[in-house]
Amino acid sequence: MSLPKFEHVKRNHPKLADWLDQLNVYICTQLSSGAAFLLPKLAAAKLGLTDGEAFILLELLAREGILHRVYNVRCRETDTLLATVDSIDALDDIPHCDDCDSDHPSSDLRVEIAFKPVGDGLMRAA
Amino acid sequence: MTDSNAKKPTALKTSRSSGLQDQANRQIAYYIGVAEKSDKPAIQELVLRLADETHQDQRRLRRRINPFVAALLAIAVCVGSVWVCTYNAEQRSTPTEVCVSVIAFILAIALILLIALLSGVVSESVFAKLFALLPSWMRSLWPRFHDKD
Repeated sequence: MSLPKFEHVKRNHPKLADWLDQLNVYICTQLSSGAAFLLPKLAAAKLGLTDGEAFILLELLAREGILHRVYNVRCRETDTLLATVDSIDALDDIPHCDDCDSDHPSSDLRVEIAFKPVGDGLMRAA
Repeated sequence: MTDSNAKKPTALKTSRSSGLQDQANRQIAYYIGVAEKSDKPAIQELVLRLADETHQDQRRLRRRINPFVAALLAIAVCVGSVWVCTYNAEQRSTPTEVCVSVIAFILAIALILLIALLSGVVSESVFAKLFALLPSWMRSLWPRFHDKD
């Protein structure tokens, strides 16, 4: 992937260029293998960074309009993905869990911070 | 992990926002906390920079006027301007008085647009498009939007 936006981010953050390059390779690998989301925890493990460091790099790409932060809501019981929402406010509207046939209270649900590519530029590059 | 196991939304919806929002906020706070303790100066710099941008966004939001108050103000100004114009027409005012009323009406519309912008009802991009329709000398009076042309 050599998206102009990505190169722009690297130019603006030269000290992060190496990590951004590694993240770039990771993102392309994940997308080409069919993954829909990028999780900070998994990116951290792959890049040898801490969760927080991986999150902050992904967040940087989100601020630059390359990625998009989303919130996955999963049932704790079955780990079923119930919804993926774009904003914290949208967590208001989570569907009924069909697996458990229940409207779970929030304590039975797990929110997972994830990132998705914006548009299909990254997908094509991958 | 893919979207394929995502359940289709059903008609039943619940409101569990605060609990889920708390979870999401806690998770973000955890990530930022870990990143702040990073031994990599470049990452620490980035954390500070992103935090600063977030604070600026929050300050911008706080500066916005309550939409309800803005709507009341806008309605009051509009009704007042229409009343002044009607009154002038009924009183067979002089051309100067009519002219002043028309200018007041235009200023009232401009004020309504400004209130709509400040209250966040209309986005800046919409204003930028409206602004592009104005003559260039008018646009030069407001460099902020002029730059976006």
